[in-house]
Amino acid sequence: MPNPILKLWLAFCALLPLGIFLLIGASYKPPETLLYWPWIPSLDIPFSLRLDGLSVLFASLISGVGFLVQLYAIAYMKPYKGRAAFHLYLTLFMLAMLGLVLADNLLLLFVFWELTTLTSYLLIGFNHDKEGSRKNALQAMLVTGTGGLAMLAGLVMLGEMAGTYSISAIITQGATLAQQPWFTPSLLLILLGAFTKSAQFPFHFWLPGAMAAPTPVSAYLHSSTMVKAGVYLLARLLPVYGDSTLWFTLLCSAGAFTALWCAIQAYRQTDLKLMLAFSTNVILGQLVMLIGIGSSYAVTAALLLIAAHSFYKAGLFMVVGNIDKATGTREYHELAGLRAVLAISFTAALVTAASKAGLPPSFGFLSKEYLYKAGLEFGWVLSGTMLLANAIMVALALLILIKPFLKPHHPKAAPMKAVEHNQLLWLPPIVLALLSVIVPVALLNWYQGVIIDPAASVMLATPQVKTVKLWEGLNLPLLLSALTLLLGILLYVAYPRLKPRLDQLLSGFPSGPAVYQHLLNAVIKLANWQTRVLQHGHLTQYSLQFFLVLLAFLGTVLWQIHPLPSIEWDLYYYDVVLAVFLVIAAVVVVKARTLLLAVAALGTIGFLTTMVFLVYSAPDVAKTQLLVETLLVVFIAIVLRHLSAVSSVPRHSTSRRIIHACVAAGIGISITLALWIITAVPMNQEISEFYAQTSVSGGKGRNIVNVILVDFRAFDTLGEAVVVVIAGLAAVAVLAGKRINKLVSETDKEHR
Amino acid sequence: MEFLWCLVVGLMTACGVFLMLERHIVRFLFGMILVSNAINLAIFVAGRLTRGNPPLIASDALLPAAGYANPLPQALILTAIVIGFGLLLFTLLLAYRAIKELGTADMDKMQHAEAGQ
Repeated sequence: MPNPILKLWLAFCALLPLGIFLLIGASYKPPETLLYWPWIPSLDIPFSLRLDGLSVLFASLISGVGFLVQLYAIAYMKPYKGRAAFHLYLTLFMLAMLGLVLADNLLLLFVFWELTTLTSYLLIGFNHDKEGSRKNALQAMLVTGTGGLAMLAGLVMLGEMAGTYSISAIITQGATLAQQPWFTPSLLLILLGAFTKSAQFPFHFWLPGAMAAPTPVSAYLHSSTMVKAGVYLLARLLPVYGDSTLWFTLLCSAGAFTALWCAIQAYRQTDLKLMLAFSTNVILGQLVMLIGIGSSYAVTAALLLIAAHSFYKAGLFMVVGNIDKATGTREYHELAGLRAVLAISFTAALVTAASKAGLPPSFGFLSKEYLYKAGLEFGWVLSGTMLLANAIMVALALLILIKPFLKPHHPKAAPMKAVEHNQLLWLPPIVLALLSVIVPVALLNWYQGVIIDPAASVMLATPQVKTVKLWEGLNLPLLLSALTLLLGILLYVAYPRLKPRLDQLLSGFPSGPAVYQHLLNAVIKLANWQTRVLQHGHLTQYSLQFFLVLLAFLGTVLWQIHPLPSIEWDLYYYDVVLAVFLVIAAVVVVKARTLLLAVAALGTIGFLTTMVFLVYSAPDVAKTQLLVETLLVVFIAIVLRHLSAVSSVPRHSTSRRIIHACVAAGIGISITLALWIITAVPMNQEISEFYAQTSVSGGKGRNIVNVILVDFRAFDTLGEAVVVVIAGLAAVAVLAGKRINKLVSETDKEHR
Repeated sequence: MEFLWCLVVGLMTACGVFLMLERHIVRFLFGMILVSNAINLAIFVAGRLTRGNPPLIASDALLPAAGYANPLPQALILTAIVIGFGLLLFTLLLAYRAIKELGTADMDKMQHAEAGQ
C-alpha cells in the first residue's frame, strides 16, 4: 500500500473508535436509550441496539481502549508486513464487539458473538507463517465456537420460553421464567457459551494460547474486551437466572476455582506475557463468581472490577510489548535494568501494577475492597480463595516490576535498545495508568451516576445501590487487603524456592492444550473411521447403502399408516394374463444367465407395458412406449456383442445376495403398500378437469394429453426435448472421447 | 383392479432393485430399466385406471365423454418415458465405455476415480 494511503487508513482506524466513543457518550441518556431498525422483518429479527448502564460501560471500554490500542498498534506493528490488514481486523473486531454488547435481540447478539470469534481468529493467527500461531488461533476458535453453538441452542430455548427474542423484554419477565421446563437446559447451554468465551476452567487454556497474537491484540482482546463478552452475557441475563441455586453454585464454584487455579499457573510462568494472560483468567474467574453471587455488593464490585482490570491489564500488556521491543524477549530470567531505556514505560508499569496489586488509591484497590465485601456476605470460603488469588496477583505485580526494571543490568541479561522515541509506544499505557488513578480519586461520583447505578438497576430486580467510596474507614475488607499485600510480598520473596516446588507438584496434572489435542485427535479419528465405513470405494456397497436408506425412509413413513384399505377385485381375464406375464418376464431378467435372454425379457416387459397402457385408455402413452422400447432394444442389441458376458463377473457371496434379496423385497413391498394406500384415497380431479374443459376452447385440440404436452405445458416439453438432445451430445462425447490410459500418459509427458 | 397392478409394480421394483445391487454393470443397467418401467406404471396406477374411455373429445363435442381416463398422469408418463429413454441410453454408453476402458464389467473393480485415496 502506498505510503499516503496507508497513513490515511491508519488515521481512520485510530479515529473511528474515538468517534464511536464520543457518539456513545453523546447519545446515552440514562437509564436507557433504544435504537431500532428492521433487519429481517419476515423472521421478526430487528437490528435493535440498546444503551443502558451495562452496555455503556462495555461499549465505552471497547471504543476507548480500542482507540488507545489502535494508536499503540500503529507504533508496535510498524515493522510487520500486512499492518494495514492488521488494523482492518482490529477495527472489524471492535465493531463486532460493540454490536455484541449493544444488541437488544438474542439472535443479533449471537451473530455478533460469532463475528468476534471469527475476527479474533484472524488476529490471533496474524503471524500465520508460524505454525504455533495458526494452531492456537484454531484452538481458540474451536473452543469458543463450540461454546457459541451450545449458547445458540440455549438462547433459542430462552427466546421460545419468553415468547420474545428482545433482551429488554426478556429481562422484564425476570425470574418468572424459572417455572418453565426449558429453564435448566437453557441455563446450562448459555453457561457453556459464556464459560468458553470467558475462559473458565476447564476451558481456560485457550486464552494463554492466544498469546501467540501480537501484543496489541493481547492488550485489547484478551484483557479488556472479548474475554469479557461471556461476563457481559452473564451480567445481562442475571435478572433471568440469578435466583436459581444452580446458577449460584455453578458460577461461584467455576469462577472461584478458575481464579485460584489460574493464579497458581500464572505464578509458575516465566514469560511475562503468559503471567499476564493467566492473571486475566483469574480476574475473569472473579467476575464470574461475583455475578454468581449477584448481590448488590457483588454487582457493584463487578462493575468496578471490569473497568479497573481493563485499564491496568491493557496498560501492562503494552508495557510488556515495549519490553519485547526493547530486548527481543519476555523471559523473566533474561530481563534486568530496563528502567534505563524504558523510563516512561516503567512509570506506567508502576501505576498499573499497583492497581493490579490493589494498592490504595488505585482502581484495583477499590474493586478489591468490594470484592471482599461481596465475598464476606457468603462466608469465608469464597473470601479466602479470593484472598489467595489476590495475594498471587500482588506477587506477580512485584515480579514484573522489580527484577526486569530495577535490578542492575548484568552481562548475561538480554541486550537492550532505546525504543521510547516513538511516543505512540508509551502514550497509551500512560493514559491507562492515569485512568487507573484518576477515576477512583476524582471521578467516582460520576462513575457511580453514569455506570453503576443504571447498570445495577438492569442487573438486579430490587437494586439497593451502594454508594461507592474510596475510604470507608477501618473495616474487615481493609484488613483483608492488608493481609493480601503481606501474603503477596511473602510469595514474592519465596518465589525462587517456591516455584520449583510447585512445578514438581503440578507436573503430573494434564495440561489443557494436551487434553484439547486428545479430544481433537479423537474427533478426527471418528471422522476417518466414518469415512472408511461409508466411503470405501466399492460401487455395489454404495448402491446397497443407498437402497438401505431408501428402505428406512419408506419404512418409517409407511409404519405410521393404518388401517390398510380394503381390496376391490374387479378383474377381467386379460388383466390377469398381462400381470402374470409381466411378473414372469421380470423374473426371467433376474434369472437370465445370458445377456441376450435378459434383453429379450426386457423387450417383452416393454411391450407388455404398452399393452397395459392400451387396455387402460392411454393410447398416446402406448404409442410412445412402443417406439421407445423398440429403439432401446435395438440399441442394446447393437452394443451387446461388445459387452462382457454375465459369467465374466463373479457374483456376490450367497449371504450378501440374501441381504440384497431382503432389501429388494422390502422396497418392493413398501412400494406396493404405498401405491395401494394412494389408490384408496379419494382423488382430487380438479387439475385434470381443468385441462379437459379448456382443451378445446383454450388449446384448440381434441386429444387432451397432446394439448397438455404441447400447449399447457409446452415449456416442460421443450425442456424435455433439450434433455434428450444433451444426452445425445453427451453420448457422442462418451463414445468419441480419448481413452483414459492415453490421457494419463499424455499428462505424464506434459509433467516431464 | 388397482390392487393387482400395485402388486405387479412392487414385484417389478423388487426385481429391478435386486439387479441394481449386482456386480455386473450391465445387469445393473437392466435393473434400472426395470425400475424405470415399474415407476411409470406406478404413476399410471396412482392416477386411477379406466377401461375403454381415452381422454379424447369427439369432433362435435366440447368436453370428453363422462368417465374419461385421467389425462394428467398420461402426460406425465409421456415425459417420463422420453427422459428415461435418454437417461438409459446414456447410461448404456457409459457402461460400454467403462468396460472398454477398464477391461472389466465388475463394478467393484471400477475404482479409477478413487484411486488416489
